[in-house]
Amino acid sequence: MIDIELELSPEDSAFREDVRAFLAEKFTPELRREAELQTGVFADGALSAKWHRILFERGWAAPGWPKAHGGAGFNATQQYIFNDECARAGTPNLPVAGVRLCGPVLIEFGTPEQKDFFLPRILSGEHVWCQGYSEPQAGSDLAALECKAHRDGDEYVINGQKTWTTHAQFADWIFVLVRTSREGPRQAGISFLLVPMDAPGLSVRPIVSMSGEHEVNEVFFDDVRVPVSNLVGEENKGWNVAKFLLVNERGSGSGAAYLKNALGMLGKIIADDGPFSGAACDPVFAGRLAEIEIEVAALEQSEHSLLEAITRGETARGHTLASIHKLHVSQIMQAITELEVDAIGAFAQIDQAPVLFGHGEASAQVPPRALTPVAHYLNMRAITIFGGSSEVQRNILARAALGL
Amino acid sequence: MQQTDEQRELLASLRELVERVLGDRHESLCGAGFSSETWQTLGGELGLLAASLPEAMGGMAAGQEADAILMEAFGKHLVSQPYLSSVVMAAALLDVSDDAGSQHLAAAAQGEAILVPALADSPSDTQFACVETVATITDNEVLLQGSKVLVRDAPLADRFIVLARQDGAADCPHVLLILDADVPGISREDFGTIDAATGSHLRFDQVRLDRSAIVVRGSEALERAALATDSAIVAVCAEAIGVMQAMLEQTVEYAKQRVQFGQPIAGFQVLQHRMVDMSVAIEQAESITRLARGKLLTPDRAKAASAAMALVAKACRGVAQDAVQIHGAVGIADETPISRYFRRALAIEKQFGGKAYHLKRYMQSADTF
Repeated sequence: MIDIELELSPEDSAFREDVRAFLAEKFTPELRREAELQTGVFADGALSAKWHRILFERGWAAPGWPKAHGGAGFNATQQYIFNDECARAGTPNLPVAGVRLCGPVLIEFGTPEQKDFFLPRILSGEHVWCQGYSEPQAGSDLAALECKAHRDGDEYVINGQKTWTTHAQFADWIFVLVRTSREGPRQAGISFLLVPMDAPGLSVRPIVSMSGEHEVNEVFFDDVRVPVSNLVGEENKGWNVAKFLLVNERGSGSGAAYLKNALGMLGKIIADDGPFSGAACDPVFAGRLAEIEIEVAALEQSEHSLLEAITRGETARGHTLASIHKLHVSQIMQAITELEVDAIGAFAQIDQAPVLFGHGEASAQVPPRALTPVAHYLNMRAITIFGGSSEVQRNILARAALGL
Repeated sequence: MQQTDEQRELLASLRELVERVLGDRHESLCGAGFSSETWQTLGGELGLLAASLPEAMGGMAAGQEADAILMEAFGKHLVSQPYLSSVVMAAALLDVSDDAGSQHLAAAAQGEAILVPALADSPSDTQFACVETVATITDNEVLLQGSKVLVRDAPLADRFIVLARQDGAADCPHVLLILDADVPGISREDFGTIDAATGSHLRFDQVRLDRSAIVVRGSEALERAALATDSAIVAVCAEAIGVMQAMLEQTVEYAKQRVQFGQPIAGFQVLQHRMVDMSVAIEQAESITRLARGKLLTPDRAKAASAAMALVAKACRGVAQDAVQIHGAVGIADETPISRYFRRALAIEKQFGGKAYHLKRYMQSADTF
């Protein structure tokens, strides 16, 4: 790897030392071992809750929120440093629905009452959130959504279905896009509602992924009632809220760190003293790895340049770069997981789901580093699909960057 | 490498000036060969060729950032000029702090003299491990014997900067020499290149030189040759970005105008995505090139330069092929500008060793896990 140092002010350097000291102390070897066994897009519910709690106690549960709302109040550079250091250390990849998606939406569009009630509970981890966007007939074409809500006095009554809902099984609340009108353009009849998962009429059905992991779900709404005070923004203006959220979902600004963490795991799989060290000596494998490293370096440089531009107050290319970075991060991540699978060779055939997800015993005949690659590879097929598929990102870029 | 506001302004005005000068002459320069008149204008009148050099030499001291701006503009307008040889490489080979070196460079930067490095004997010897061109150095003269294969810009040269092995020296045997191109004993076999430039195979047969031809001897000679090559690699990557941006721009424009099946072909999603992939590859190439530029004066220089060249070579091939494909049959005609950009992109890929070579060099110098 080529090391690219971000040029830091003395304050930001001191901040980085703080983060490193915190991680050295709080990210214990036990937590690291647990984190290394994660193969999903996000760390599982229990581990996520544990790590979130540790961050909360330090005041860092919400790096991007302003201090006024209980966030860490980090500036753009500090957020980047924080994400970078966490990824270098290999901390659990926390679910985004609460802190990264719902929180910023409430800060931007929420009523004072919504902010006062929900924000502290997102921060403390008391409320775990999930995201109700996709439906069976509305995936990339989100505006085709049909899950509907109608007013009945002071309540909305919701009927319909959401799907691919990450961590619905752990969630206390779900934010949903619902159809409240069929007049005018499709986008003009959508509203953004907050729904407790224990509401009567709401049910969850697990969807087991091809890795054997239970990460996503279907969520059904059968005459589910919520007070109108659970509406975010105005009725039928939910599309603006939805788009605001999608931009946050796309751009985390530290994809390179995320990928370097994955490369670190790959490094452990093919370590010199391990059973899969042969891969590293194979010139074809080494060549593929080198190409990936170079692409990660390019991405990191691009992120640094964007960060410097943002710090100077320039935002012109931020929007298109978010789509470009999503394309790069997802493609590179998939390429890394392919190398993981190729590194362990024939061991890829053994089903590790019972060990990883079913509390089964690992076989003494299987090297520990062979446990995760296949599940990681299978789960990461989703990364070019969720959060706006690669094709949707290209549609966005065709319009925004090329004027087509 | 963070820049100050002042540096950013200086570079922005340089970019603007270069763009204006080349933009005005685009039609006559694009894809045409060397134009002595343009070279003189860029050097003498406007002083642009000196932008990267120290202020004492009439420059702006803008270093590799200035090189990048000029090279990118040359790429965009497909201008064939010996800037890479005569300024970028020469500045790394000659010593700006000594009189002779700075005079040679000042002449080059004013467009008065063209300096052409002839370093490896053969293009495949990228690390200068097999330099068999021999310099016999005596008390009063230097005798040069040997040959150099495939020296770009050699027919334009007023002076060559030659890497040779010192006869009889065991350790650190290399020497850099600077000599007039018309010294008796030098012969050239000239050729044209696919990208409208020229080059030669050079022979030095009993070439007698004054000892003042010696630029530097020993390990420093080899180190400067390596720095010159890496500087050229990073600069040619910047040119590649200009070439690719121009190809993308022309392709998008063409796709908007070309009507088939009753609509502009720019409306077809399969072509839109292909053009997006071109732009995404260019963004990646720009980032890795910026990275390599920042590493030029650090211990990571070779690793970063090769990382950049490997990725840029890949991008060059993909973007150029997509550009021709989207142009359809028009794209393969010599008279269509895109075909000339295509050939320059291919030459850039091959100029300092291709993708496979640089990937290997990256791996050899990369840290392992």
